Amino acid sequence: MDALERIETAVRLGKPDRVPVVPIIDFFAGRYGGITQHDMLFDIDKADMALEKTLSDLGPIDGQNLSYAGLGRIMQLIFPTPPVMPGVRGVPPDGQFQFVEKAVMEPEEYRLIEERGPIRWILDKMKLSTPELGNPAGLLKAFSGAGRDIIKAGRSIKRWRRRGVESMVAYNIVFTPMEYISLFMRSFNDFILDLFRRPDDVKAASRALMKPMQMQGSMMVRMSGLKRVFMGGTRTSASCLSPRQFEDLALPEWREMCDFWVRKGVTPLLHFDSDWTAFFPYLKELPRGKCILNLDGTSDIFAAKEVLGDHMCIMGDVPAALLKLGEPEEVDEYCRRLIMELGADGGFILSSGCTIPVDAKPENVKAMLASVHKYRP
Amino acid sequence: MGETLAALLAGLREEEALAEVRGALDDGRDPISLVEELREGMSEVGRRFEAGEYFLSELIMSAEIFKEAVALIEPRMRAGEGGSKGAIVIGTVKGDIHDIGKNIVSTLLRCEGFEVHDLGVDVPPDAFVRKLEETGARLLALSGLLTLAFDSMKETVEALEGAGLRRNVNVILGGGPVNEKVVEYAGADVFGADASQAVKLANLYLGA
Repeated sequence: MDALERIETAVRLGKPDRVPVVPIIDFFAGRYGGITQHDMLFDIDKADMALEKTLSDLGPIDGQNLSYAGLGRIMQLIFPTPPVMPGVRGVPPDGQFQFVEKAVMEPEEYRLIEERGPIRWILDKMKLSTPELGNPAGLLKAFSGAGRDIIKAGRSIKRWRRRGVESMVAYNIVFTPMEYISLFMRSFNDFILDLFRRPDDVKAASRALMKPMQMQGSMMVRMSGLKRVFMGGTRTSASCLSPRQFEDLALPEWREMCDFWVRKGVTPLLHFDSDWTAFFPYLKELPRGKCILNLDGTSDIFAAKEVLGDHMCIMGDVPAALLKLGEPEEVDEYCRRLIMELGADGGFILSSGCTIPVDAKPENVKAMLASVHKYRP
Repeated sequence: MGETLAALLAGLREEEALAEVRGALDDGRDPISLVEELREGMSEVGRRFEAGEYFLSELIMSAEIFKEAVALIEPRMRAGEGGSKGAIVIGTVKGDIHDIGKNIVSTLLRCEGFEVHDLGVDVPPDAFVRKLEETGARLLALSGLLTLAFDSMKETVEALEGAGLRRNVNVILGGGPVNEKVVEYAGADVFGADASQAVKLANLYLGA
């Protein structure tokens, strides 16, 4: 089997020749490969060279889960609250990429999204943080820069595929409206209070934003040629919401979004950070054999296998803390358990939870990558 | 006679709870007894959280109601009334700007009656040391989500040792990836797996 067949077999709940290993490795590979985090984010050629060195020293992978390599400019465009970017606006070039928690909308605005038109409203918000988007020349410059990076990223995807490394999602990053509002528009705390104080307004905003979110994702799928989308889920997890709130507010969105992608033949990669364990039973409502559940080490991945093993491919979850502070034997033992227990009857992809941290011990990464060859369920 | 203020708070009935506080203040009720009732409500919320009946969103909402209610009561209290259960210094360590968990813990500790000195995010070790010296706080709560934060937590504990504070100050850690191994690495005392545990640990260490 080649990497793509191995991954696709696991996604369709089959048992491949061995468990595929598909980590988020870009941040670590940048550091290990001797380039700054800024270069990793803004120069795909340097990022590819750093990844090449990493894989040549530490072992092969079947694919890359999400990778931000070379996508810095695109991320500055698609996230209305720009993340902390290494080498940008005074951040040291080898600093850490981080999202910023900041409210950029008032609670009264929920009702205005539909009135203003959701796409125009999102653009208005983006102009607040990136004023140059407000004039045609600035807009053209930003989009042409991002366009060049998209072309380069496309070449990189093809190069890696020829070398047996599949890009899972590239820049196909999509959010459900509520995850988007909480992450980029209202901030976590205010969003939670909104759910109690104005749930109907939140629902109205969710309805208004659903289509633009789907359109953005569809455009990315067309450009990248990859029929998978990365959907981050944190703010609607069991770490944050009550089951009643999840059922009433968030689950309908997750269902609608996943159904939409599956109808288009696109696989949703549900990258679920925080603890989703209590909500696993709800995920049975998502299409069977069509989604990937990617956990970050906070949820109980073994419980996920029990509840959802015959329903969706499970992906995860070597914890970041283990990769930084553990010993290779401990990493090996954790991976062995994942591979033998979760991979026993297929439907499992070994990955990092959530990213391999920039300061992971190389010998731990090596142990993780080697484990899929060492243990055959 | 309707439900008690504690029950209204525990039931997350924001408007009714605040109306009850306004009414009680107009009737000349003792402000301190109102705060005590609110704390009783918060204890019930904590119990429901631990029993799995409430989730984080409900903790956040209850803390918000508590904050709003105390803002109404405070102007009626005399200076020094309703003394604190002890001082705590808290912050997200150097190099990390994640503050959701830290803010929730700060708020809940305040609701519990602690004097909380929240230094914000990306806090260097010497800022923690200065604040501990200035306030005489005996508990330091460090938060971080990145693995890089583990090193800053370690540096902070070392700075405490360097300043001769470590013997009298307990250090608790919090944040997504933090576990027993991180506690050991950083030289801290313990970690809290969630906001409710952080409050319990504060009560334990400050003898409240």
